[in-house]
Formats: sequence, C-alpha cells, structure tokens
Amino acid sequence: MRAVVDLNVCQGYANCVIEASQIFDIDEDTDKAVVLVDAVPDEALDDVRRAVAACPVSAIALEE
Amino acid sequence: MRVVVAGASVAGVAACAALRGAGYDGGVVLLGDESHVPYDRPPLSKQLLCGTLNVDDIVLPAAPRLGELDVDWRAGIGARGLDLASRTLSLDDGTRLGFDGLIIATGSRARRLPDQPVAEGLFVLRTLDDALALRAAVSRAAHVVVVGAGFIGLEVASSARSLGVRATVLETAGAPMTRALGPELGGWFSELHADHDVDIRCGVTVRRVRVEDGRVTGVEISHAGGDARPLDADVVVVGVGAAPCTAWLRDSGLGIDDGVVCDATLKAASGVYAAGDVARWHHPGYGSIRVEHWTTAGYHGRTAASNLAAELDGRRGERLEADEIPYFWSDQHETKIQMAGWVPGYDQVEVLPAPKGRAVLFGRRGRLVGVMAWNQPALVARQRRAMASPTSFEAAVAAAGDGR
Repeated sequence: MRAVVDLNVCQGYANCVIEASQIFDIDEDTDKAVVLVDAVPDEALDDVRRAVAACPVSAIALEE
Repeated sequence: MRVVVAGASVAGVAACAALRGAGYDGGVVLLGDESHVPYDRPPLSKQLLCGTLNVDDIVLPAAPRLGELDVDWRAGIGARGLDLASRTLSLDDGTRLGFDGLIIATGSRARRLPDQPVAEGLFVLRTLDDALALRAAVSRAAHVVVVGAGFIGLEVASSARSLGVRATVLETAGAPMTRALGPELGGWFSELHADHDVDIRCGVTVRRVRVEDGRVTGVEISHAGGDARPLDADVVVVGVGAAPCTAWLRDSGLGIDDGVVCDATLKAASGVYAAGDVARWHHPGYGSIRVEHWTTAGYHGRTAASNLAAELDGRRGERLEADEIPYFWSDQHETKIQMAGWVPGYDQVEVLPAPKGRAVLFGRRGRLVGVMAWNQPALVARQRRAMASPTSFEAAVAAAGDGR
C-alpha cells in the first residue's frame, strides 16, 4: 500500500505527522506534507488510516 | 460481556473502533445525548459556520462503520448516573444498563455568563445544532458581538468577517488568548484581527445582555478607563471556555476534580476509563492535566479502549500510558495557527525568525515545552519532533537560530 498526498489540496495542517510521524513530514520549502516511504509497512497501516481520517482537508489517500 | 462507551464523540467513536481493533468481541453500546450521526467539532466555528462545509461533510469517518463494528449506538440517549458498586448506568430514557467495562467520553459543555438569559440571537457554540442556528443568524446579522477572545471566539469573529458581517470581540483580560498563551503573545492576535477589521476590546466586562421581546439587542459593558457605551448587536456569541461534563458522575464515587481523575493509563476505577475533554489524567511528562484538543480526544479513545480490552481479557503486564504531546490548530483570517506541547506555567519564551509568519518557543524549568507558529507548518512539525524527547530550551533556541 502507498500513501498519497494531493499537494493541490494539502494546506500543511500536519495532523498526518501527528498520527504517523514515521510516514509523513512537512517539507521545509513548500510547507506541505511529504511521504517518507515508498511502501507503507503493514505495522504502520493503522497509523496511516488515522492520518487519512485526521486530515482536515482530506488530502491523503491510501492506495494499492 | 458488555462495554459501554458514554459519549458519541471523537473520543467515544475512536474507542468503539479501537475495542474491535484490540480483539474485544463482546457487546459494545455507544450512548450519546445528541441524535446527529457522530460528527467532528473543529469545523463548527470555521468551515461549517462560513458555509464551505455542510452537515454531511463533517460526519466522523468511522461513524458509518458503527453497524459493521457491531456497535449498538443509541442515538439521543445519554448516561444520567453511574453506580459503581452494581456496575450499572442509569440512562436518559429511564432504563438501566449494566456493564463490565465503561469508557467515559462525555466531553465538555460551553460555559455561560453568570445570569445568562435565553434569547433569540444569543448563542454558545458547542454542538452542531448550535452551529447551524448561529450560521442562520449570522447570515442575517448586521453586527456580531463575541464575548471572550479565546480560540472559539476569535474563530467565530473571523468567520463572521469572511461573510462580510461586522464583528466585535469583548475580552475581560488585558489581551486575547491569555488563558491558553499568557498575556505576552496576545498582541499578535489583536493585530491580526485589527488588520481584518475586527474591533477587539480588552479589559471589558459584559454587565448585561440586553433582550427585548425575547430577542437579543446588544450588551451593556464596563470598561475601566475606556469607552463603556452599550453596544447594539443582533447576534451575541458567548465563548468563555468549556467545562467537563461530570455532573452526572457526582454521586458515583469516582474522583472528580475539573474532570474525571485518571492515572496515566486513563483508568479511573477498575474497568472504568475516561477519554477526551472529560479526562483529567496524569500525563507522564506534564503531570495532572486536562486537554480539550481534537487530536487528544481520538488518541485517548484508542488508548483507553486498548487498556480496557487488556484488562477485561485478564491480560497482565504492559498498559499504554497516555503520553502524547498535545497538538491543535486554528484558522483565523486565512492564517493557520498551530501549536504543539503544553505551555501553562511557561517561564521562558523566545520569538523565532519566521519569514512566512510568526513563531515562538516556550520553555519551563529549562525544558522545551511548546511551540506556536503562524503559517509555518514545517517549523511546528520539526519542533514537535524535538519535544518527543527531553530537549533543553537553550538548545532548541540555538538550533532554531541555525535553521535546523
């Protein structure tokens, strides 16, 4: 599974970093979310699902 | 086996999902005194009030899955009393409900002014019904007066201005946001709101809300050394903080002290946990605290559920301690305000260079304990990571100065 951030939608709320700091960070230049890994490890799937739900602007998706 | 979750809130719904996630397969009953499908509160003072989001947009993502999770959600029925000895709740509908495990997630309610009347046009903002009624009133209003310059009040003022409505904020303290941030940083908020034509008046006490024919018409104020003329208003919003919903637990035997008193694992008594706004718990890093943030509510719900499931299962050993670093955000006049940490009692503060906005670090007894930034999300994320392990305030300030 991959975590995908729609950068046109992301506003840098950073809720994803709170829920899954091993998967997301905020880029210093753009102030938008970046995904730190190519594939989400199984043990982090629940954290990423929470990040998807926690994003105030629904910018994150978990895709096959 | 039955677990009852009292409160169909962010914390309560998160707890239901986490109970199943932890492998608990007994009965789950979710009580809530509102009849709406469980929803998110942060948008109530922001996008919902401005009309950019509607009711359907703010349903909690887990809410449609309650059936699938085999959760018995009793819409519109709250808990009214708890008898710990018999492990029984009394409910709004007059029935009683026994439990093996209980998660208390009844949240908080909006505080009101002393002797606050009931009148058309006079609001507090806590529930979806409050927000929908306020939205309708603001859309017809000429002047909105907000009592209290805390986050809710300032967000309401910002939303009113974005709808083109005149807004005035009255605050008893000498500056906005003093309860959360202390007096020094209030000037930032005064300036931001003044720049967007919000009339912010500090040092002002509301003496009386004027009501004529059941409708609010304005407020009478006292203002030491300042303009104390009454203000006309067709909408008055009281935003003077929240109080935990613990009245129903008064005779329960649980410890109540501005919240349900819990240990670090959110446990209040054998098989009884609290989560979210209503919980006063022992945070391993900060001591006894109560936090009203959205992220804390979800985190508490999951932590309490995991610990309760382990207790009911008779599992010994590790329980999760609720040691998360509190975090919240606010949107005011297109400015994104983010804050991480726990700053009450801070004794050091350092304003950082922040080319895109504003930023400040907070220290207490030599340790970094908080960060607030405006339009600087990466800085907040970086400082929050730094706070995850003990970091000296001096080192944090020096590192920030180096751009690290």
